[in-house]
Amino acid sequence: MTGLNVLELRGLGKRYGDQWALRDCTLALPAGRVVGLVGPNGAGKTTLLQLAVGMLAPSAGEIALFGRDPREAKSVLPRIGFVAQDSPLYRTFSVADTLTLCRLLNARFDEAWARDRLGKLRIPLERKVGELSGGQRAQVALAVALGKRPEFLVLDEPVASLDPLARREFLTALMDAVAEDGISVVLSSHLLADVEHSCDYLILLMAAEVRLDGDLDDLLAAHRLLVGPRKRATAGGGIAAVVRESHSDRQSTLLVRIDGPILDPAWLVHEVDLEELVLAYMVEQHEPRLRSLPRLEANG
Amino acid sequence: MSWLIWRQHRQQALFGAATLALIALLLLLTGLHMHSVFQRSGLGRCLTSRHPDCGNLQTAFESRFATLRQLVPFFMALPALLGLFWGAPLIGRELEQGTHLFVWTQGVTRLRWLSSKLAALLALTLLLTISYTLLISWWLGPLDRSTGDRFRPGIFDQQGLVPVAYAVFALALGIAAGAVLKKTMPAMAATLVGFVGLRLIVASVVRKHFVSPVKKSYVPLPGVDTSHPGAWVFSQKTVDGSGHTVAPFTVGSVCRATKSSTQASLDHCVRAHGFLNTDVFQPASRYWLFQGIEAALFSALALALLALAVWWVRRRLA
Repeated sequence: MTGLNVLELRGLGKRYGDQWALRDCTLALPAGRVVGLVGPNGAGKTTLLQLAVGMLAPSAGEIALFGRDPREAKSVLPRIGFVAQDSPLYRTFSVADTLTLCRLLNARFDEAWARDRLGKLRIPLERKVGELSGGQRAQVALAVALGKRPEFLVLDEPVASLDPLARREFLTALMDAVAEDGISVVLSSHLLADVEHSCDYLILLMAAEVRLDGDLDDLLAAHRLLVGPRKRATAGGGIAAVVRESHSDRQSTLLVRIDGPILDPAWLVHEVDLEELVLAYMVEQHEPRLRSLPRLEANG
Repeated sequence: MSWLIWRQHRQQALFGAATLALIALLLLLTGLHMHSVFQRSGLGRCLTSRHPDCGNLQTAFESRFATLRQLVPFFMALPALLGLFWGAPLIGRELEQGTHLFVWTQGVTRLRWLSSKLAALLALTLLLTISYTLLISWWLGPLDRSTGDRFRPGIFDQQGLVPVAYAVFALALGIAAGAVLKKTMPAMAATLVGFVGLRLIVASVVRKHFVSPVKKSYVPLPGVDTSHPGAWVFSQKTVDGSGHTVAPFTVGSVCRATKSSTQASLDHCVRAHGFLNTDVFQPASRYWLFQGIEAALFSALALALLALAVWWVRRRLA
């Protein structure tokens, strides 16, 4: 299993004081995927990513990157690329200085490739990083992260500060690079459109816990939107669990996890898109998951 | 790493070097003049030959350079500047701007990053402060020899070994404060308060207890030298036969020298009245011992703070 998974978490938790930023997180990220990490602000996305690259130490549980502790910096650092939130770079450095820094601090850094890439994006190398636009700075950060030729690339909200056009350009550039090298990527975003556009694997974090994770297509295939006359939702007959239900006077709308064809002909069955799926899981948290699931199953 | 260190800190280094150059120029110009006056006036020879009566020469020399000497205490702020502008931003600014996440995820471990930076900044600090200290010690030489009070708080602190130790301490304090507080400005404020506070406490309270002072009691016979040149005098007290404290000049007015009095009769008078002097002081011979102790104290604190910074970066910021 370890050979196939780039990152494995078992019961991983991070606590600040008595506040858990991340709790009981168990995941296995397959290699070669582009993983979208989504969730509202403060859900623990940044904490999870920084744990993954060894910038933070866990308070509980275990984490393995390439089968080892990510904080074994000497062996891990050359194999990862990391762009933290807001793409921090030295603002007083020129772009060329930034490339020099990366060349000197990394045993293998493909400076020619990074220069070439920035040239194509028409980012002036002699310009100070602090004088670049947000989009250009994000591109520089991505270029130097990719220039390390990493096996595992971690991007924390890489497009948050970009306008829609720059965002699309950035993600396209990322996808091209990933397709070239077949590297594993985790990127966090609070914008589902970005994830839908670029990712094939999803992790949803809610209030410091993993609510949902899996292959994006598998997740979409495993859920349906049911619309029909007003009635209580029950498990069974193809419904594995009701994720979210809403009832108007005459009509009920359910988002369900399925384990077979929906047998009840009263339901009109629709496929779900990513946004419906994620929103359903985000709202459901008001009702604790562990209590609601057994009740539904008992009814079935 | 050396390229990164130079690229990131060259401005600070050049600014430090320029400040030192400016001070050096000032000290050289005034110092050469002062040294030449010291010799030309004959004061140097007078003091070397331990002539008992250099008083007029001393007064003239000291009053001539009194204003200049008053400038020197301003230099006491120099180590604090190192802590504020070199120390505090070293880790503090990285954490504040998030760039530690960039630089610590390159191919160099954060421990190597930090130790390279510490080594470079410490070396530069030592280079600058040792040059400065040699210069200021040379500059103060004639004044010290004339006044004989280099042991006095405020003058002791400006020369010898201690300025170097203060600078290293200020630098370490700034670095540790930046790591712990994660922001440059609060770290600078903490460095300033911490440095000034500790310097004042050590200078006014702790230093005098490094070694117990000498307590010397003697009969103030006429002609006996009651001064302690080069010593750090805490108190000088004269008591009469009944144990009451009297003003030091009382002895001279009670046992007044007249035409008929002889040395023996004056001695007899002083003894008969039971006058006794008690002086408490750190003798001049302990000057370098005290310099060593104080420098060691601040160096040890600096090492502890640097260890804290390293530990904090490796463990707490993880």
